[in-house]
Amino acid sequence: MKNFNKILLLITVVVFVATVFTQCASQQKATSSTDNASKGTPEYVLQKSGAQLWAESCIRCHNTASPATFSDVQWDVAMKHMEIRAQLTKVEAEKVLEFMQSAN
Amino acid sequence: MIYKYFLGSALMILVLVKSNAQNQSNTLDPKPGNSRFLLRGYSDATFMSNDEETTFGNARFVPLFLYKQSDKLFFEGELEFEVEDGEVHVALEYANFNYSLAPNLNLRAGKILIPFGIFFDRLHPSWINRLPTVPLGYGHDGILPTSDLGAELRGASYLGGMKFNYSLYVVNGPRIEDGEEEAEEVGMIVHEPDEDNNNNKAVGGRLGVFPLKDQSLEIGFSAQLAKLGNRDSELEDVGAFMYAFDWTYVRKVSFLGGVIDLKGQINFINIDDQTYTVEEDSLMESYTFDNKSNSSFFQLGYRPTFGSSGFVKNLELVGRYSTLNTPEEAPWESESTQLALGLNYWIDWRTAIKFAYQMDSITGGHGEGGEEPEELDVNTFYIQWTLGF
Repeated sequence: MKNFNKILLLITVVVFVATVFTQCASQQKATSSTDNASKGTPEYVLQKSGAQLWAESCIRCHNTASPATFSDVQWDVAMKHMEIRAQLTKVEAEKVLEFMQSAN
Repeated sequence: MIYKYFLGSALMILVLVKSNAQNQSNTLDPKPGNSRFLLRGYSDATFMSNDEETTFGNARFVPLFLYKQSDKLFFEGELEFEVEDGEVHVALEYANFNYSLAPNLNLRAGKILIPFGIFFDRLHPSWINRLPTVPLGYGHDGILPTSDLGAELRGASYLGGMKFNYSLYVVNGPRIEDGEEEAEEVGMIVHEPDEDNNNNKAVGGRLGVFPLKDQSLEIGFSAQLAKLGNRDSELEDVGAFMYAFDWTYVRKVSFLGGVIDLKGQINFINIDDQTYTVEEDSLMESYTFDNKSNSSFFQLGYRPTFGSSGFVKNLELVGRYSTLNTPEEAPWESESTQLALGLNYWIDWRTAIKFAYQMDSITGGHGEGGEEPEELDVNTFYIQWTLGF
């Protein structure tokens, strides 16, 4: 029971701090979510195109999907799913989404 | 005791307030056809043949529901309908909501796939898994976690110019077989996601790094710590420490004329020392053994994508070697190896027909009266049709 309390407390503190941090970060003068997410992203990643990231990322688990597979709105949902599931960074997910929507 | 409820409530209010603010600033276009609900999933049917049986073994329909309420809030849920041995089994594979706390930090809660290694978290759907079967260590009497109820922080970022991804989770966790119902399985770790047997929670995580800039190589380490025993039982304080190493290397190789896909995972399950006393045939019997198990898989795939023939480009060769070793002197002691060789034909990027020949070699269990452990070799031919949608 003591361990349970410790774990719950630890998780709560971590999430609480992360949430507060997010609140504070959102008050900064970021012009867009992409600008905000780009902070700390290496230059070589920023220089990659969406098509390149699409080719690099998808194939690590499954065959690459054709952009024609889904509509723009469907890609928006599917890429959010992949951002979480495949652990893409926000910058990667947005670049790949932009490519899929522009190429379908 | 009260403080945890207070902290939990404060956390929930914070998340809800932020979620509400986000929804107001990111209202979705409600036009018909613009619903952010997406139905995906997969289906498969498997034929198998060996010395024991020749049968259309099972068929599955696995719908995946995705709903994006906003850039912050997301839901995913997957059901599994499976026909096997004349019965339809229904299971909730996972169902969780995700809240994006920051661009590269996600909190999800509900029933989640456990990111212990890579196989179940990423590769288990049949349209992704290159073979009709799963590696040793999963499935019936599996020693590895698959999904559970709990919460997880996950995401990806960069450190020193190198990409990494991370997961940190707390879930109900596994239990230990106490031998009351299955005396021959006493001491075995059991992953039953729908049942929580104690107040202790399993805590674990995974860290993956990408040493190469083209992301072709990923190396991961996972660990999980949990107490296994039922509450108020003799085994209550028996703990388990599990850890795993995994790797993925996928790259187009010009001189090989295609894509090579190298994946693998090595798992170790260490359970605290304990003497187990069980009743067998009205007699009390004690077992003491070093309760350590391990399993692994090594997989290599090759797809000749550079070929000029459309037919050849759609082919894929796969080989997987897998092992499972359970504790010596345990009633469920076993040593298993499995070699699976497969040939896949991809009709499109998510539809395939898989042919595989799998050779299982199992040495396990103590025979009565000091007999030698049974040895069993089973060779099975599989055909699986799978379709992701």
